[in-house]
Amino acid sequence: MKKLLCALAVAAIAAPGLALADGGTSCATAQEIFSNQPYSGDTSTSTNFVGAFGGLPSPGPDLAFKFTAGAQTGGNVVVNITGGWNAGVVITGACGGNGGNPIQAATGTTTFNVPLTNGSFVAGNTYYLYVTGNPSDNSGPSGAFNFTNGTTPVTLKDFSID
Amino acid sequence: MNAKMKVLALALLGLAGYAGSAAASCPSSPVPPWSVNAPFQGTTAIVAGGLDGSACRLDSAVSAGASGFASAQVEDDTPTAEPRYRAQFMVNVDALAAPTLTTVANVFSATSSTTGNGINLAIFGDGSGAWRVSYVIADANNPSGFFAGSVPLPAGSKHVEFDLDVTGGNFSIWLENNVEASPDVTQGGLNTATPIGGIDSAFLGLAAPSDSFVATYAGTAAQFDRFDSRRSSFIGF
Repeated sequence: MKKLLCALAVAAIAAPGLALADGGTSCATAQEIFSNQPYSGDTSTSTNFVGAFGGLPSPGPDLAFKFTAGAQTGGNVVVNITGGWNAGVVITGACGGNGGNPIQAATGTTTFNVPLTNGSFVAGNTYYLYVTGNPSDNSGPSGAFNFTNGTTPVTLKDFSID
Repeated sequence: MNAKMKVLALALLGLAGYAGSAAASCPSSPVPPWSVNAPFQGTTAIVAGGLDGSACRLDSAVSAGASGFASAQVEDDTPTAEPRYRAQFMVNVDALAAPTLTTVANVFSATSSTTGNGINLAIFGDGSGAWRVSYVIADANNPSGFFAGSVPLPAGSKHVEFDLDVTGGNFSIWLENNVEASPDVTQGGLNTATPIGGIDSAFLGLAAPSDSFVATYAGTAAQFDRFDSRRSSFIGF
C-alpha cells in the first residue's frame, strides 16, 4: 500500500510536467500550471472572452491558465513572444467577463518577466494567469508565445517510503 | 434628485463631495466615497486644489517602468447593470506637455462586470502638440467589434460628459460643452446591448498607458475632479 501511495504521488507530480498545452479558451478550461515548467500557445486560436481586467480593456484574444499559490512564491514567469506582437501577461484572482484587477503583470513584444513576488499571493488561493494583448493597444494583438513558470509550489498531498 | 437617479447618487459624492471639507485637509484616501482604490504600477492621491474651485482633486500618475496594465484609477461600483449610463468628470493634463501620436493612456472606463465590455475614454497626442480624447465602445454592429472616434481636448481644466444608451444603441459626448441639444458627437445604430449588457463599474484615472506615455510622463500627474454619474438626465456645469 505504501508503495502504491508513493507511486501515485510521484505520478501526480510528474504528470503536469509532461503537459505542453495551449491554455484555456474559457474560464472553465483554464489550464493548471506548475512550478518551473514550460508552456506554449497561440492566443489567435482563442477569443476575447475576458472583456476587461478591472478598469483595463482587454482588446485581444485571451488564453487562461491557473495555479494555486504555495506557502512561498518567487522568481518570474519568463515570457517569450514569437513574431513581435504586442503581448500582455497578467495574474489576477478571478476569471470571468471581467478578470479583476492585476496582481502582477507585464507587457512586451520580445522577452519579459512577470514577477511572482512572495507576499503578493495568498497560500492556498487560486490565481489566473492570462496571456492576452497589451491593454494599451486597441488593435487587438494576438500571436504565439511560450513561457516558463516560476515558483508556485503545489502542496504534496501524500507521500510515504517503505 | 429624481428617483431614477437614486442608485447612482453615491457616485455624486465622488470628488465633488470633498468640497465640503474645504476648511480641513484633503482626505488621505479616496475610499469612501469611491468603492475601490487599488493602483497598480501607478499612484492615486487626493490633493489640495480642486479643478472646479473646490478644495481637493484626484492626482493620478503611472510609475516609471509601468506596463500596459498600469492602473492609477479609483473605482465606483454603485451602478447596477445600468441600461443607460451618463457620466461627467473634469480633467486637466496641462502637466503632460508635448504629447505625440504614441503617448496614449486611458482616463475613464465604464464596464459590465458580466461581460467586461463597455466604454473606454483615452487621451492621445494629435500630432501637433495638443491632446485629444478618444472613445472606444463595444459595438456588435461594427466589423471590428468597436465604435471609436475622438474629440479635441483643449488645455486647462475641462468637463467631459457622455451618454451611453446601452439598450438603445446610442452614444453622445460633450467636451466643455454645456448644451445638451448640441453634443460634439452623437451616434445611433450601435449594437451595444449584446456585447455590454449593462454598466456596473466606473474607473477614473490614468490606465493602460503606451510605452511612450510611460517613458515621457512617468511620475507626472494628470488631474481629475467633479465626477458625477446618472441614468438619464443631462449633467452639465
